Amino acid sequence: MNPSWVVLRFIVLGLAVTLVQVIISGVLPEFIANPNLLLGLVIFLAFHEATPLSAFLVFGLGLIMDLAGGLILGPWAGAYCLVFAAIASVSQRVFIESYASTAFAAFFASLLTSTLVLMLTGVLTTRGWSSLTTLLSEACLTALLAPMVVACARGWLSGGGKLGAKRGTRAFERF
Amino acid sequence: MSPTTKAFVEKGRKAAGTALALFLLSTLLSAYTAKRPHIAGSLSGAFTEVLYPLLSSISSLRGGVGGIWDGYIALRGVKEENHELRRRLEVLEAQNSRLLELRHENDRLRGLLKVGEETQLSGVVADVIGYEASNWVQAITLNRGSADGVWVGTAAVDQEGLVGRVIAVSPSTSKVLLITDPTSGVDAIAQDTRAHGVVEGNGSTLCRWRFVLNDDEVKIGDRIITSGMDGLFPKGLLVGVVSAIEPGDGLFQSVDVRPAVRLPHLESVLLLTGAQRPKDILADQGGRAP
Repeated sequence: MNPSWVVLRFIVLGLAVTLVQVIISGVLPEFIANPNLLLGLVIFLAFHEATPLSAFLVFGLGLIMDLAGGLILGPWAGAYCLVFAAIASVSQRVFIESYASTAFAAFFASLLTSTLVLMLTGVLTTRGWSSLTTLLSEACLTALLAPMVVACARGWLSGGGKLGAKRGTRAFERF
Repeated sequence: MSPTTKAFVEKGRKAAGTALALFLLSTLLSAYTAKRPHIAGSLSGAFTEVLYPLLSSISSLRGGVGGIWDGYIALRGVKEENHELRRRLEVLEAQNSRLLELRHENDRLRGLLKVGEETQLSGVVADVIGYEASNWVQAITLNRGSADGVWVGTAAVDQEGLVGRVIAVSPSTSKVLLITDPTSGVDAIAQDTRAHGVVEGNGSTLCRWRFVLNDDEVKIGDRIITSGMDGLFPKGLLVGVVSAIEPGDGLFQSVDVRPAVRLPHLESVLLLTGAQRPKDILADQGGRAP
């Protein structure tokens, strides 16, 4: 598949996942934290497409979250980039085909991302560690759902082909 | 290590390096936009405008899906001889449900109109079409924007009290920061004792009333209203009631406030577009707009 076509499909997927996240946030009861579904896409890129172009796509995903917030631009983009860098640097040592490793990565990625966002927006000083239950609840839900997002991303971006089916079949490599 | 693996690891390192560079860029971006909130506001407005048709359709579909569930799926397996009667019942229930919904909507709109009359400010009624995607910002998206006279800073209320203020606006949508968001601040006074402080969100469903002097008399159940001194919210809007008090160590006491509005269950709000903008107030006082 043409790499620019793959990038376009990825952007569409990012917007679709954002919409699903907005819908979920309106449906879930207030005592349940919203899962961070976009992290599934970050993990997919870090595991299967760890290239410089993917870093820019991750930055874009973060900007989508920032734009959805409307307060400051950058915290989500920065947090996603840092998480991407951390996962990409260890992805060679992880059995990425496993559901458990994706869930495990999603759990810690969610904790790290939210803590970073709280720190970058200065909310951590206001809320303190009272937000710990929200952080954990968000991380658990994200860990549960992220493998499904990764599976969707693999299916959608491969277009019936082999993208992300295993390491080395990188669609963005020609960029 | 084989050459293929080496190349692979090298590519991963490059990706991580690029991501770290982008992280630094985003911290600079955060610092820049934190001082210039209008940039994030206008870009967010444009983004919500793009998503508006989808958000609006999803919002209207939400009720429809519930109806289908009640009307069809839950009735599967009904005995055949009761089918016709049940179908009629279903139609009547649907009509009844629609009428009830119209009554609720009527009550809501009447309540909002009353707010407009009480505050003597004109406004536009807006429906909630979206909620904030993350857990760390408490905001809602409405289906009214600059084309309806909404501007950044417009106060949002419902019949119970203050909801928040508009932080981003596009021609047909606007984003309201709820008073429970930690970055929100409302200059407020106690209705009875006139004790003064600033109501800030604490990120949950409660707010904190800060900078209330230890000497000020505050008791549980006191009604907290906007003072109008911040130039953002008109005076006299009910913010909430005092739910807990702890004497502070220093000058100030620690007061929790339960918002008057049930924020997680909002369906529609009144945007007080007739209120004076901060820059107009400054102009009236002979000052300069920021």
